[in-house]
Amino acid sequence: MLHDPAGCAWRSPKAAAAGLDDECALSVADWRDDARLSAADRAYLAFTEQFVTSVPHISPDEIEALLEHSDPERVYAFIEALYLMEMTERVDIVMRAAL
Amino acid sequence: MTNTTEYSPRLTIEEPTFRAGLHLHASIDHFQAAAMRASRLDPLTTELVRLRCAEYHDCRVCSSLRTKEAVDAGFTEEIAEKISQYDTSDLPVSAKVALRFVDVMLTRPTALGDALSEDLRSYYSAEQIAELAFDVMKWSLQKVLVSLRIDVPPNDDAEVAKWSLGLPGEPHWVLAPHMSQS
Repeated sequence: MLHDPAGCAWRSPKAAAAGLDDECALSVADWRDDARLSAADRAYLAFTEQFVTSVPHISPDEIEALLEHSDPERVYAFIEALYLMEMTERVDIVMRAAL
Repeated sequence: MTNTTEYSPRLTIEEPTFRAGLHLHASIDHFQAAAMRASRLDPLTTELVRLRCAEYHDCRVCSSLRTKEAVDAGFTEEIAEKISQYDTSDLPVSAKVALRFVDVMLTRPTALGDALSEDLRSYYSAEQIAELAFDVMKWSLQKVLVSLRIDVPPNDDAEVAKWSLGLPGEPHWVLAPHMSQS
């Protein structure tokens, strides 16, 4: 979403160990049409897309969709982790250009 | 910058604050403290950056607060009102450059081109540019609160205190004048 080739090329060792292969990772760009993704995957990806582009426009329904698959504590932890991943990547990108 | 009419909390958190997180709060606290301790930038620039982030993310808590350090350094509500249209305001060029950097970082960071990079290096040292970036990251933590609409703004000094983290380097918070009058 941030159009960063370096970020797209990186894979989390934990995710890879859990079974995330390159084919699956690359399908994220077309997540709405990918039949391999579960309802939970879609809920998390929909939230991620809105969180990264315009957080004030996240709807209550998008939170409800997360809560259908996780308890509130895990949802909160996910959002916190998402913040860290997103903003760390934004810092990386601008620092490479500005310094 | 944007608004939504839906402000009801969407998740039950016992004590929503900037450290409501349960799993990562220690790491985030270390980062927050380091970002707030950094002092290569003057308090006025830091406050402009913080409030631009608040505006972009529509954070009601951050918009309702001012740092005493910035107010003591001359930050006024007249200055705050210029942030949303900063490019056509009479804010100093150095402030406009910092705010352009905030906008690029929060929208499409890969669009940070040579022109803005050169402007940044003209007005700010490498350490100050790094501090700008970490300030934007720190003052975007409210995205977590906003996404869940647990960014309930304080109405008085007692509620302001609730939002204090007690971290080294944290500014002293005061209620924005428009909140005191409501």
